[in-house]
Amino acid sequence: MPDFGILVMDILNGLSRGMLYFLMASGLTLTFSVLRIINFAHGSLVMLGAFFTLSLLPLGGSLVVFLVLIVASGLLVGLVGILLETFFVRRIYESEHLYQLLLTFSFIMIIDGLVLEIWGGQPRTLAIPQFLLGALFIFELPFPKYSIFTLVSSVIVAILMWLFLYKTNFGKASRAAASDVEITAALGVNVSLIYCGMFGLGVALAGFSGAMGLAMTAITPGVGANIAVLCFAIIVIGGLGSLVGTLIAALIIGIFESFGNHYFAQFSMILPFIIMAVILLIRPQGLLGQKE
Amino acid sequence: MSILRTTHLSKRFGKFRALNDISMEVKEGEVRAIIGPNGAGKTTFFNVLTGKLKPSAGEVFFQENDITGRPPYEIVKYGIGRSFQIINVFAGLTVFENIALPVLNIYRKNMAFFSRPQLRDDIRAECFSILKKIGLENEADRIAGKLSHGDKKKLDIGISIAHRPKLLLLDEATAGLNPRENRNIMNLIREIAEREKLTIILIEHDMDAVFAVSNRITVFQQGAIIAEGRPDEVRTNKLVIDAYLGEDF
Amino acid sequence: MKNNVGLGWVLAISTLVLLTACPLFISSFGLYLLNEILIYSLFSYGFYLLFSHGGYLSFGQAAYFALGAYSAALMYKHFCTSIWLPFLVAIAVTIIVSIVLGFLSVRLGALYFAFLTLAFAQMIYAIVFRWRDFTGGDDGIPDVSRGIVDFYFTKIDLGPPVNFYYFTLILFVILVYIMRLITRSSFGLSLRSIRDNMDRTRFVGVNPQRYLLIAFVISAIYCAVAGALHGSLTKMAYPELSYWSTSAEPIIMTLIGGIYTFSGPFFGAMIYILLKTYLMTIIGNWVLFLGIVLLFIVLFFRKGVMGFIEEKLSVKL
Repeated sequence: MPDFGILVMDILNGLSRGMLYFLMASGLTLTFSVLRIINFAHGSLVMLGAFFTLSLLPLGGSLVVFLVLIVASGLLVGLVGILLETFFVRRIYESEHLYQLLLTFSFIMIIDGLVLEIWGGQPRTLAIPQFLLGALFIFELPFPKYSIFTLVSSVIVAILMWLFLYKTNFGKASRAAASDVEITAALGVNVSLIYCGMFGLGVALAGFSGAMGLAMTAITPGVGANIAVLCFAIIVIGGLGSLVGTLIAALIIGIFESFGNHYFAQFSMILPFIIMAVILLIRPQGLLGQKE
Repeated sequence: MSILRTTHLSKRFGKFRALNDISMEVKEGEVRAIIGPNGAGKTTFFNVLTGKLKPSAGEVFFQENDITGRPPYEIVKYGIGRSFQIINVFAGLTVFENIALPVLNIYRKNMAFFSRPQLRDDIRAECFSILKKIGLENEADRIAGKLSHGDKKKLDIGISIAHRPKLLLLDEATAGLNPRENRNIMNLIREIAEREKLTIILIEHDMDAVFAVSNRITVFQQGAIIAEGRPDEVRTNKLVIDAYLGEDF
Repeated sequence: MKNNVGLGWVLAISTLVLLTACPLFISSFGLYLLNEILIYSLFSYGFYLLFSHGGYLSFGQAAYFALGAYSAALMYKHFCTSIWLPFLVAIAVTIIVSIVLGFLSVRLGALYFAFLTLAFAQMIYAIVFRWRDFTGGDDGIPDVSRGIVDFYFTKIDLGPPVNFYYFTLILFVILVYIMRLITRSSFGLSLRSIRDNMDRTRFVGVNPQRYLLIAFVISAIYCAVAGALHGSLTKMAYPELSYWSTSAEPIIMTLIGGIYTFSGPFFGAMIYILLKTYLMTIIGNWVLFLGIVLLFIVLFFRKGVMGFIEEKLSVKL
């Protein structure tokens, strides 16, 4: 008879991880849908968000301040994204995809290098702040506070994102640009602003999830590639271009990993790859992706 | 004998019916024109025939073989060639190389790791004979992307006839050409049709060309066939006049 | 562009002569460097086939570099001293793995291919890293042997640097020559047609997935041979051989040399290794420097060094 407490914890952990992965991966999906660019450096930007939080942490004190710090980290990373887009990415929209990939690949190295310079090469962890340690007890089952915090914040951000995409003018214009850029531009929409903004948004999401996720694992410069690969795996499993698919895939991976860490830690690292390989074999377009 | 036959062929994109229950038969040796307004589904029809798109319903038979939904590289082997509305040549390769590719395919030499097409006499000869047919033998070493628009069109057609198809699908072969180039292309097509005894299906907007070369005409509108018959029949068909031709023809 | 084939041959032959004569008058460190250059050239040629001719950018060829290194290292450690078995096993293992991973990677197009190759390489890194019992995990495999060339009538110990250098050189010449044949062959043409116009190429009877998979496997073999040689040269095999930063090296080397030039991978490897050897101590943050170099090349210097020279002199190199 499994210990319910641990089961609940695992599920909650899994869900909060999954939501975090969803935010990470959706940033990538957004940049791809609108700008048609796969940002290889996405993982490095996640990592950057974590490092920003690490530095801002001393300012913290209460739950609210902590939340603000995390959001601020996300926004800072978003700012980095906007700078990258303005100075570099926009030069290669016209070029072959290959060069775009190479460009974002160079970003991985540059960001990793800069992080190494500024923060050094030691692995870092975030000590969970006092007010988020421990667990809430509901029905005598322990719910770790940090997981709840992560889960709730992620869901809020996800909802905000949805509102932004579907209810604001900018969001609608972005979705229009995603399906047909020429017509959107012809309608008088400032497409470069859209590109810049969406890139920044996608990157901000990455930074935010990195900031939130800092407490879950240690980070070192260089972990960016692994995170990027995880995001890609999620997108492949869920189906490129489908946010709902990304959500489902992210939650599945999150829960699997959570249980995996407990019961078969050796394999949890390559689990996403195995699922990805299976999907590629039997359903290449992903769970909810479109064929053709 | 029927060389191409479709039964109830349909293609839907979500709710949009690009092709609606197309049943058509083309006999060997015919020159069939497909006409109709833009968006009528003509190119989609070609795409489904040649495996670029999978049909939502219906079948396609080539010489009574079921080729429904097969991928393009298999369809080509059955003997169907296709040229494209928007020029689709290998812009980075030379003219010779463009023609060499389908020729290699006939000789089944696309995978030869250690031989070069330029060095094999038989392949070389065949490439040049095709280049001669389309009038590009002097441009063999030119990079295809640098040809004039008209020459690119010729090359496009050259690639589609190079693997000895029995059926040739020409998608708006005259699009974007000036009148002189236009005449050249139509003459070329007529010559090829006669000499090679090909069956040709052409999508065309140039009505003079259509009425000059075709044996039969099929008229598409909004994904369906609204008329089919000999040129003089179609010309005087009220439906066709209303939908497409107007009073002048 | 004038097709002055003569100059290309002159370059090739003079380079070959220099490479053969070098051991006579350079230091042992220089010999080591030269050996590295040859090995990394092979690594880059593997990448070059797939990228410059097939148009498919792989961020994970390091996976096969590592597989080659580990297969050979383990063979030397557990089974024998002769070179035949280790190389054969390295190639066999690579063929099997690359067929499976390659098949999965090419299914969805060039974009997916790029990050799938990265993903699989990281996966192999993770497996090698975790599987301590078999691969030595983090520590890798130390003291990899250089092997003995075992002909029936004579044995040549590859331990001495000069011997190993000539062994590498011979492999290099053979493999580069084969690469030349492949790229100029009908297969190479079919591959380039895929890169040029994947849509149209299906209509000339070419099945892109099949050709790309074949190119992928050939590429993997080159990377594996390079890896096996590397393992013997450095006398060790370690997990980082499969890391993305290792995959970045042939990419950057080929770009520096010139992606559409046949001699690009070799000269690119040479420039890169010389730069790395002499600048790394000065610069410190090598990753940052490399990233900036790549950025620069992607934005401003896509032709690469040999491509640039080609254009200025109107030749093909």
